[in-house]
Amino acid sequence: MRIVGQTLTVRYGSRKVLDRVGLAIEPGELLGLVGPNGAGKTTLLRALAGLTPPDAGRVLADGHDLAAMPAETRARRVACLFQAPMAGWPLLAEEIVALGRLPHRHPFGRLAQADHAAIERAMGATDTLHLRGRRDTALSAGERMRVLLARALAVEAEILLADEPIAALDPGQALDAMALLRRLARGGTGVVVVLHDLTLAARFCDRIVVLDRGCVAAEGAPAVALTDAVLRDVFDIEVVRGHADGDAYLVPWVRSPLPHAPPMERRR
Amino acid sequence: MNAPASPIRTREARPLGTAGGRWLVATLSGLVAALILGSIAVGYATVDLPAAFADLVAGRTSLPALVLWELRIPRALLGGLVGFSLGLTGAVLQGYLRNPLADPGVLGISSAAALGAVATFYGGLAASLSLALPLGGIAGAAVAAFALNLLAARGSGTLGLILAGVGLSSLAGALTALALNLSPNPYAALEIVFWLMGSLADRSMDHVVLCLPLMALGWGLMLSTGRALDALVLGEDTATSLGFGLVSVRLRIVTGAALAVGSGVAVSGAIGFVGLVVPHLVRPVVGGRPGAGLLPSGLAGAALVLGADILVRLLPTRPELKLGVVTALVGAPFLVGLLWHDRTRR
Repeated sequence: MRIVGQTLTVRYGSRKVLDRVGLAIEPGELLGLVGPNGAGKTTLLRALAGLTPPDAGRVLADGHDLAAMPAETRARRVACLFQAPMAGWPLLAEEIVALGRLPHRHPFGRLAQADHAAIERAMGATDTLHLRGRRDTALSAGERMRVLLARALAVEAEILLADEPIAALDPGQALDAMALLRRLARGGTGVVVVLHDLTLAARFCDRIVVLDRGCVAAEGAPAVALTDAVLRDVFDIEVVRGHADGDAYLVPWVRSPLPHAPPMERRR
Repeated sequence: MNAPASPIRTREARPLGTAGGRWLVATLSGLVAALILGSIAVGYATVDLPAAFADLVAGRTSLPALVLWELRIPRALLGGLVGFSLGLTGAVLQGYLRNPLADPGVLGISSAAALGAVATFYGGLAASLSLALPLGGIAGAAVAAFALNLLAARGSGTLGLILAGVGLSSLAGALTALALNLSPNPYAALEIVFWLMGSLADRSMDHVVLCLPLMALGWGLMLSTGRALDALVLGEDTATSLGFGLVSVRLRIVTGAALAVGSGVAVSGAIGFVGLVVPHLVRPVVGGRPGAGLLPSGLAGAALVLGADILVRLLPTRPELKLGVVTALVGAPFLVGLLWHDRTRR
């Protein structure tokens, strides 16, 4: 499935959170969404998922209005991973992952063989099989993050929208998760991932969209989107670049030197 | 620090699904059936039960048969119905509000139902028409549910719903107090106060017929939200992304709770703490999935109310203790213990 957001505008009260943003999600592509806090990344994700109806513009799924798609169908085809506090009930990790199968189940039906297989695959891919009998209340932040990622994978949708799925992971787990998302994309899924880690974004994503104050500031392959000028303009940072294993990498290094105001006040 | 979790929490996975839940539902169903029979057997008049049943089945209007049909059976059935409503509503509201301290009264429906019933007391209707009291209670609950549904349909969030419930509770409570304040004579006030404490004594088959369809509809609406409650564990956004319409869920829960609890309060008065405590009792067995706790909570609620109602009749206190007093006496220490347990665990 191909999802296209056209001139999406979203307002919270009088504040424009998204301003005529256009974005296409292609099957088989890992798309990184980066930008400073408050740039509108999560709102864009919510709009693309059909959760926030845009005030202007529209979201098309394979050329049809996403808003017109029945909720059950949309739930099977677009999986979402949002940052939200859990309810705090003592669910087992496996039960949490099984929630990803809800869109596939008949009302009051039990988990079918296909559901069990999908749960197994998702937990295997995220290295959480050993946690299956652990209660949510006894999971560490990183373990819970991987269980929630497994939950989203268990939907086995054509599109995966993930909001900061590596925020709580240690460096090794973050690399694993990014590699997993890329594998998922290679398998034909369209993956959009909101990231704060520019190094990992540049290393793993096929395409990067830089969001700044509700607008697309740059878009393209990492080398095209994450130029020194863009990073200075949008993030106020200078990066160090290099090559490893034949790939280019970048590491955020210092705040951009500012002629006028001190860095904290300049953006507001 | 948190790596080697305690052996209790890391127990081997039971198969997904509700094996523990189904076992519990079967056990609780048996318990409720036994308690209903027990409730029929216990009473102030000595009745030869087999003979009474035989008379009843044969259609003979003997005194034992009358006691059975007019007193014992309605009381036992209402105990089960009201208890199931309270337990189920408690479980649904805890799941929906994602709050372990939610109870059927949190939306203000019970208070509104109580106010409606008190209004009929006050207006003197209760004296002239035996069903005026429950009808007044149902009317009160309906008004509250209408107000809450208006709010819920407008897409007001969970917090807005709770705050509206708190407001509604206080308003209904204040108006009930006002009715007591302006009560024409002390006996009327006393009668109102006693009624508010909750009891199943001297209810008739008419009460059963009145509340059964309303409750059944409410139960259906609430049980239909089980899947959505499961999804809501992950937050409202994720639940929506899994295909659940939150406005529809909210409307079903508010309407279902109003039907079940409103008609329950209308026939029995306010019976506290059952809806709060019961979901906590079943959770260790069925696990944390809210949907898995709905049916067991309802059955456990029925068992609890039936048990308490048998207890008040066995205790030598006369007039018998009010049901709401007994359940609160048992429930309040449990609540404190629960909070204590939660504190020490973290």
